[in-house]
Amino acid sequence: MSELTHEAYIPDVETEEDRVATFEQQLSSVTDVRTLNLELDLYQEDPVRIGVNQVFAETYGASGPTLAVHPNFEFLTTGGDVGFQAFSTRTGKRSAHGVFFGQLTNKEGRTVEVAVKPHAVEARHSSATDYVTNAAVEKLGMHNLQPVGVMMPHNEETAYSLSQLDRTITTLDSINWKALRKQDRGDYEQIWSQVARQTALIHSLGSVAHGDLAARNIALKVDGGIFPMDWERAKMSLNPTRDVEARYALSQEDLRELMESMVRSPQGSFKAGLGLFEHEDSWTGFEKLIFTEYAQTRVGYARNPAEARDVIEEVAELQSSLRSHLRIID
Amino acid sequence: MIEALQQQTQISKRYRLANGVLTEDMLVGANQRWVAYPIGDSHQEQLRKRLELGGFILGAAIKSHTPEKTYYTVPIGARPLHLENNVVSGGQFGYSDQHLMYDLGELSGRIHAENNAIVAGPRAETAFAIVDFIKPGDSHLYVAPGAEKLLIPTPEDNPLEAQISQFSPDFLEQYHDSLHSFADGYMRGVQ
Repeated sequence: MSELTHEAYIPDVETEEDRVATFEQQLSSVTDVRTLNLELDLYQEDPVRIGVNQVFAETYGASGPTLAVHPNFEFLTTGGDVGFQAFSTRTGKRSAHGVFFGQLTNKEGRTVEVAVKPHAVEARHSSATDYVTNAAVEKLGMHNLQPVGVMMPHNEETAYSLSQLDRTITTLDSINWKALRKQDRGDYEQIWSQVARQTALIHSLGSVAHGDLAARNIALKVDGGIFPMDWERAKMSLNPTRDVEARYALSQEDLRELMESMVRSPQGSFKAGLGLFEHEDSWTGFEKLIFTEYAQTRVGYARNPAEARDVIEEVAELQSSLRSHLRIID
Repeated sequence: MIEALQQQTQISKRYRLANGVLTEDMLVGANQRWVAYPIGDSHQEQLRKRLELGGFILGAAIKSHTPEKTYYTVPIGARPLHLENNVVSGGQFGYSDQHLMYDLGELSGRIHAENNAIVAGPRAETAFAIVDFIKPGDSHLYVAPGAEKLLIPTPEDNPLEAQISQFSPDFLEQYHDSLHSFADGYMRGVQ
C-alpha cells in the first residue's frame, strides 16, 4: 500500500471563520464605493445578462476592490471605511456558497444588516448575477430580500453579493416539520399550499423560473407569508413563449428541485432534504401538498382558452416526468 | 396600549411562542411583537421578577400591564425551540445543535442554582425561545415570558436527570447526539 494516504489529496476546507476574515480583509481594502443604477427592462429576452454587463461597466476601472451599492444604501458611499461585524446564527448552514451574516457600518455609524454570499474567483460573474436577479425580482414587485450591493475584487480574489438581512423570516429547511405537523396540521398544509400557488404564479409570468427552488431557498415570514429567495440561477423574462418544451424546461426544473428537497431524507449525505413523506408514497404526498394546487393555479392564471390548453399540456408532461424522476431518487 | 392592540396581525405557528401558559402572541403595528398571559399569584410574580433580573426571560416587560395580563415585547423573529430543525455544522459564527444544547443546559442549570427550580414538562422545551442573528457574546436562548408558571421545585436527587426527564421523548430523540453538551452546560450553569 502506498504511503500516500487518501487524506493527503483532500484540500484544506475553508471554514466560516476564514470566509469572514477574508471578507473583512477585502472590505478594509475597498478603494471605491459607488452607487449602482441599473436600468432593467424585463421584456427583453435576457434582461439579467444585460444587467450583469451594466454592473461590470459600473465597477470597471477601479484601482482596487470596489463596493457597488443599491441606491437605497447610498449612505454607504459616504464617510468611507465600511466595517463589518459577523453574527452568530443557525441560518444558512446548508448554503453551498457558504453565506454568512452580519452588520455593515460606515464611518458615520450608519448601519445595515446583511447576508453576505461569497463567489469564487472562477465564478465571480455570479455575484453580479445574484445582485441583478434580486433587483429584477424587486422590479417584478414580488416580495424578496432587498439587494444591497456587490463587492468586486481587484485581483484574483473572491467576489461578494450582499442582500439585506431580514430578521422576520426563516427558511423552510429550518423547521422541525414532524413537530409542526403534530402541533397543527392546518398550518403545515397552509405553508405548502402557499408554496404551490407562489410557484404557479412565477411560472405564469412569462418566461420566469427560479432555478433553485429547494426548501432552503424559500422563506417563511413571521406573519405566515412565504416567498422564494436566492434567485441567482433564475431565468427572468416577461416575454411569454408558446413553445411547450421551452415552458416545460423552466417549470420542470423548479418543481423537480422542490420535490427533491421535500422527499429526500434529512440524513442524506447528498442533497439532504426534509423527509416529509417517509411514511407515505412520495408522489401521493407531493401531489397532495403541491402538485394538484400548482396545476389548478397555473390553469387559473391562463389568459385565454389557447393558453389554458398549452398549460394543461405542460402540466400533464410535468406530472409524468416528475413521477419518473421520483422513481430514481426515492 | 388599546390602540396598539387594535392593530394586531396574526403570527405564523412556526414563530408562535404560545405554550399553554403564554396565551397570546401578536404582531402589533409595523414592527413590534407582544406576548401576553394571565398575571400569576404573588409567588409567581416574585419568581418572574427574579427571572427577569437574572436576564433569563425573552424580551422586556411592558410596564403598563392590564390588571389581568402580563405583557412582554419580544424580538419579532424569536422562534420556539421545539420547532427548530437540526443544525449540525457550527464554527465561530454558527449556532449548532451542540452549542444550543450546551446553552440550554447552562440556562437550566442557572435557573436551578438561582431559583432552586426546574422547568416542568411534559414538554419543557416549549418554555424556551431562540433568537437568531446575534452579535458574539449575546445570548441566543431564553425562557419565553410566563416561564415562572412552569417552574417546579428541584427534586433533591439528581437535578440534572430530573430536568432532562421533563423534556418530551421527541425532543430528546431529536437532540440525542448533543445530550452530553446539555449535561456539560448544566454543570457550568449550577456553578
